[in-house]
Amino acid sequence: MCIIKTNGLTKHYGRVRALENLNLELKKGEVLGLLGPNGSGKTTTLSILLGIIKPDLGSYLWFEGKYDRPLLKVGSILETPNHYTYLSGWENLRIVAHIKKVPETGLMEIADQVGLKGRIYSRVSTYSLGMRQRLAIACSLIGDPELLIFDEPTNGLDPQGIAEVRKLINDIAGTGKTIIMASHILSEVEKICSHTAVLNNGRLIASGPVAELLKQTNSYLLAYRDAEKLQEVLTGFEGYVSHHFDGEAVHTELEENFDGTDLNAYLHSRGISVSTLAFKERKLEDAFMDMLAKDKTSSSRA
Amino acid sequence: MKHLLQLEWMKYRGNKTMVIFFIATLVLYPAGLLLTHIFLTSVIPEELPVDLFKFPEIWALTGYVANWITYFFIVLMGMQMITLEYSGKTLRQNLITGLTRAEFLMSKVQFLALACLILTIWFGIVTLLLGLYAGSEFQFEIFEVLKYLFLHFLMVFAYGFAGMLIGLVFRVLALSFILFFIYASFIEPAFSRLVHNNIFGGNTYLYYPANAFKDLLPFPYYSQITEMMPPEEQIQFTLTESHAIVATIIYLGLMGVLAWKKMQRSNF
Repeated sequence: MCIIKTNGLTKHYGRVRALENLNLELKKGEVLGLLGPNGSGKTTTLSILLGIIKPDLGSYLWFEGKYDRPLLKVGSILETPNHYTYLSGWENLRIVAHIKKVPETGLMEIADQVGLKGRIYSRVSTYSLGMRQRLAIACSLIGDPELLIFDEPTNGLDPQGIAEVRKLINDIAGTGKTIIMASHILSEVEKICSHTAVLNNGRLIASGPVAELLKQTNSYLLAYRDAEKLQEVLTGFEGYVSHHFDGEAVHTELEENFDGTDLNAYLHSRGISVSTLAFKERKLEDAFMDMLAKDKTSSSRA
Repeated sequence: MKHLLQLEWMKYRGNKTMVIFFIATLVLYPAGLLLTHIFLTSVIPEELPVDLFKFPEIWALTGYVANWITYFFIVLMGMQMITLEYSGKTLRQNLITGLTRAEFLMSKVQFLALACLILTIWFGIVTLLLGLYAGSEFQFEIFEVLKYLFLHFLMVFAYGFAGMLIGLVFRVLALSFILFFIYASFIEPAFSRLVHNNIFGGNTYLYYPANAFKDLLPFPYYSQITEMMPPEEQIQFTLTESHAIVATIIYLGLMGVLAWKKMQRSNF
């Protein structure tokens, strides 16, 4: 079953392009990581799907049109958690249950699941940010939703809070729920998500299973005292595909029939003796940076 | 309907500002009326042309006092109902939880109507008690009572709805109230009397919204004042009752349409 399908979603704020012709599909049971740098359109996409922003163009369909009120089947956290802070956590849970028109039985189990049972009758204004985030997750779980949406769920949390929330989401993902998680913490996405969609400047630049993105590529890590010169020379190598510089080292991808020895010989012939040249295990972060670099190159060519 | 009212009750019963506004209004009704009674009977007893506290005149007097009290508190309550949801971003949260925009607006309107109904019943009880205590004779004419209860309900609902609409547009309580106060106390009176009246003449300047709401239960002795003036200087101080009712209902309809469009079109 298709949980959500978008068709050409477009949104501009004045002359700023927030989203351009987004076509996305999420199937039941998938855990989709929505990736992209700040301002790439992740929150705009989710805000449109959740009905709080109107798109300029395009459409979307929830659950293949199965429900009249699809959002009652979706649990979401969008950016920071928003609660009635003068009420207790329990009263906030009751409000959500009332909106979703589900019975209040089971609310305490959910509070227990997110580790808030002991403080559930305290006012939310006395909660730490981590506790508020956990309450938001509890709210999203009410009514056993068919889809969970978490937008930057660990934003603003301290390391302990991040670990708590990460574990919680991991546990939920382990139950087989369909989830969309927008994040720029790639290690988080890599551990939890089965699929990813990468946005940049409001455009979808890649999507597919995480395993496919992580497919081993011929990547190397290079370090040299003059990184600018290294990058300049690197692009002239016969087997060059792409590269990016992370501030300390240059990450480059080569064509399959070239290896580190060929690259080293080439650089040596151009007067560059690198201090580091190492084969690189591909992580989601590398794939992500490569995609952004390729998108930048193709955009500047266009 | 019950579902949305329950939802609003869950939200507001723990909100101190809302509770204070509502209780203050309830307390100020008898307090304001008793002060009026003390003032009128002990400070200027000889000048009083009639027994102000006998029925049915007392309804007009208590209605006028209620007019002043609700002018502040019901407007503030209407604004708070909306701005509270903006400031905590809970409006946005309600929508993503599954409440529709129409349901959100209807929940506010229904809750406001219920609060106005409670205040109106309280207004009726306080007036009857004060009349029994201070009036020279007791009369209970059901149509007269219902008329004043209806006028009171319409007035407080109109003030509250205006507060809600302004809150919906400006989103911040303090800003919304300052703008309302400046408009209702200075801009509308000045514009209607100095500009509109000079251009169009007649009594059309009385049909502006804040004045129309106020004239549902106006100062009750304008007619006596007018009668004391020479015929060539006699002017109409207020709208007639029926015109005030029609104008208020039309303004309520317009405000309803504006609030609906604002809710449907806004990004949150």
